[in-house]
Amino acid sequence: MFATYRKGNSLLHRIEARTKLLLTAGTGILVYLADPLGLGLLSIALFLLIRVAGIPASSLVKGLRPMVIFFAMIFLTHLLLQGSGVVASAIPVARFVLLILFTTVLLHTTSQSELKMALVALMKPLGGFGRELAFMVGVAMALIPGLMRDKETIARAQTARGCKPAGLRGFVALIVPLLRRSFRRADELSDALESRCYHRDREYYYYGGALAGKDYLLLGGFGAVLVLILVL
Amino acid sequence: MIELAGISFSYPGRPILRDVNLRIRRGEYLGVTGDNGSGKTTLVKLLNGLLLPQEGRITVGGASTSDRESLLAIRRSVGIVFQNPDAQAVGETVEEDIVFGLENIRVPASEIDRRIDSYLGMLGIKELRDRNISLLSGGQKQLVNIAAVMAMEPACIVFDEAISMLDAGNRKNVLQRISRLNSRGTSIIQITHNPEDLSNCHRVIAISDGRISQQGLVEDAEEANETNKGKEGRGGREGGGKFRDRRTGPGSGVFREGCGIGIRHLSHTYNPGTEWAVPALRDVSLTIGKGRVTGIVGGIGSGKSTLACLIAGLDTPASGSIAIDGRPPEPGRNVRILFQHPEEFFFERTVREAVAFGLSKAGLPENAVGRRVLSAIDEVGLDRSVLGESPFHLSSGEQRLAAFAISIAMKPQYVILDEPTAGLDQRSRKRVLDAIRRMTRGEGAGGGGVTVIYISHRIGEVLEVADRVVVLDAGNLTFEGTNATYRDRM
Repeated sequence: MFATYRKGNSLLHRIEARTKLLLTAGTGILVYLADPLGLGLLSIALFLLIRVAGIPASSLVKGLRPMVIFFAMIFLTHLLLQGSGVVASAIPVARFVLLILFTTVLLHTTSQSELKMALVALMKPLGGFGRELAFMVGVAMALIPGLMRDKETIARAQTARGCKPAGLRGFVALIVPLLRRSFRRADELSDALESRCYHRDREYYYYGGALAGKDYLLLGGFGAVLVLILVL
Repeated sequence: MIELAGISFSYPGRPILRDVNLRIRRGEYLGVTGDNGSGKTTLVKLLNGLLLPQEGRITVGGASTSDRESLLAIRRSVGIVFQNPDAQAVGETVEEDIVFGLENIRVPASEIDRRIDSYLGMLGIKELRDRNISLLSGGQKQLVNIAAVMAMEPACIVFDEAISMLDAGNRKNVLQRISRLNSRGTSIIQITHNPEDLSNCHRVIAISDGRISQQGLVEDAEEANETNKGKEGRGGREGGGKFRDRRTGPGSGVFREGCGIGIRHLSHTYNPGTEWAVPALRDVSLTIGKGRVTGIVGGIGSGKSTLACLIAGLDTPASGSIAIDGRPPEPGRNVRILFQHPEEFFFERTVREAVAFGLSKAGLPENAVGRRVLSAIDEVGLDRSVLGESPFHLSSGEQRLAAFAISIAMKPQYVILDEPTAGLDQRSRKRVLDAIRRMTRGEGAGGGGVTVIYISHRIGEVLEVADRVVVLDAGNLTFEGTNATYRDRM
């Protein structure tokens, strides 16, 4: 569903990951609170961000496609069950679309490692629990490409056996080997982590540094706008 | 440095190690061999406290692995590179992956930088430093895993079948680096099925039925190595520069249109048009004659697996064409492929169900299915008693043969085997090679006569069974000819 990171040197790529993560979270609040006019303004802001980051439209469409049924269900629920008008029923859908697209912008311009390090830094106040949580999220993100590759390989292997990945039998043919592989991979990874001396008190010091002035400026400005909207 | 005294270990209902006594000295280079399931990996996991012995005591530098307080120090002393290259990476990039272990042991940032450069350089993969690990080949990933463990500079490094999947050139390089580390005082434990990987060992032990059945000196390994020379050893860098300019022209085989596999001007690139674009095959033309074994060999990233998937019809080439008996490849119909570790794709409850699955799906009557199942099991050399067993409970070698039986039962004309002996011990490997010979020579009850395309990074093994040899190097075809021609040109 979500986009993959694309290397680049745009303004958005150059903003510190912690700042982007906080701004995206803040934008989520704005999307939730905004009225139709606000949603329109956010859409314009999103359009500008997409242009600045150089994200291809095809990638955005690809990210939204798996959610189409979900969007349709939300729309129809509001329209038919709650008796809302067409425009009123489209607003919750618009909120979801905007949330997904803002997240897509974040993921397109921030690598997994940058995100992991941002989580580590932001969760630092939570102590050991925060570090472990950030580490687990990071490991889970690192496992995703392997899982996707396993799914692909298994589907190909079963296709090569003449077993099409469709229907209940096809699902079983895919899910049984995938689960076995995933559990085994998790076991093996856990052995590798422990063998490389992983411990919960480990420090992250090779990457990262203090936020720069522009990050504080961005966060401060955005925070002020958010507070104003909440107060007014 | 490491001492095992009276070690026993069992999984529920299955004893693995029994009363093992072993002493590994500082600076020693120890080789460990043994069949699949003999307990080698269990032994490895006991060495740094990943598993704890149920009986006996293991000490590393005087500290017991059962003492939780000492575990971190023990793991700092005993580094392990495991077999599966896909399940050891933590970072997104190569650099991050190496940083992970070094941060764990609190190496200063400037020293981290130096070690990353030094160990990547030592293994000849410095250019991979900023690359995304998930986009590397299996061999490249394993080199990164080796670099990550070496960079932690433990007193002892255990290689658990860690170099078996490297091509000959990289294996030779890694073995040289390991020897150099050993000469500087690092203890090495090399777990392997390949006798030639043991030639630098000071001592070799074999594990059988959970016991150390044999302890020998380096000469034993050298003797084993000699036996294998002329096979693997002469391979040198498969797909390397030696074969350049000896390329035979397309169609130099016995290919006639409409018979065998014709590959014309095949090119393929992964992630085309992106920054991760990887050219995998470049203008490859060759002919694979019917009813024989054609070995396709090459080093890491040579394009052999890409070629296999294209022939199997699982991918569409960027340009060029493939014809099987004059028709395009149809996966599961006119060509079948067995990926590496095909046993991982089982999903049926019994071997009988697994072999019968495709036959029933093809609409064969029940009695015909039964006959085909039996003949396929006979042909691969499995005992019929395995039919009622769960495929997951068979030994690794038997699982591999059962996977062969699944393919053979469908009476395919063309079968592609991708690294069919990967991870198997010598005995299982021999059974697999025997099964391949039977498949092609029509000696089996299944009728034989199958055309086999044998993909491997191990030229010695390919030469044991292949009639023709195709060598790929960085996506280019560098040799195509008979087994004898290949041997002559070595």
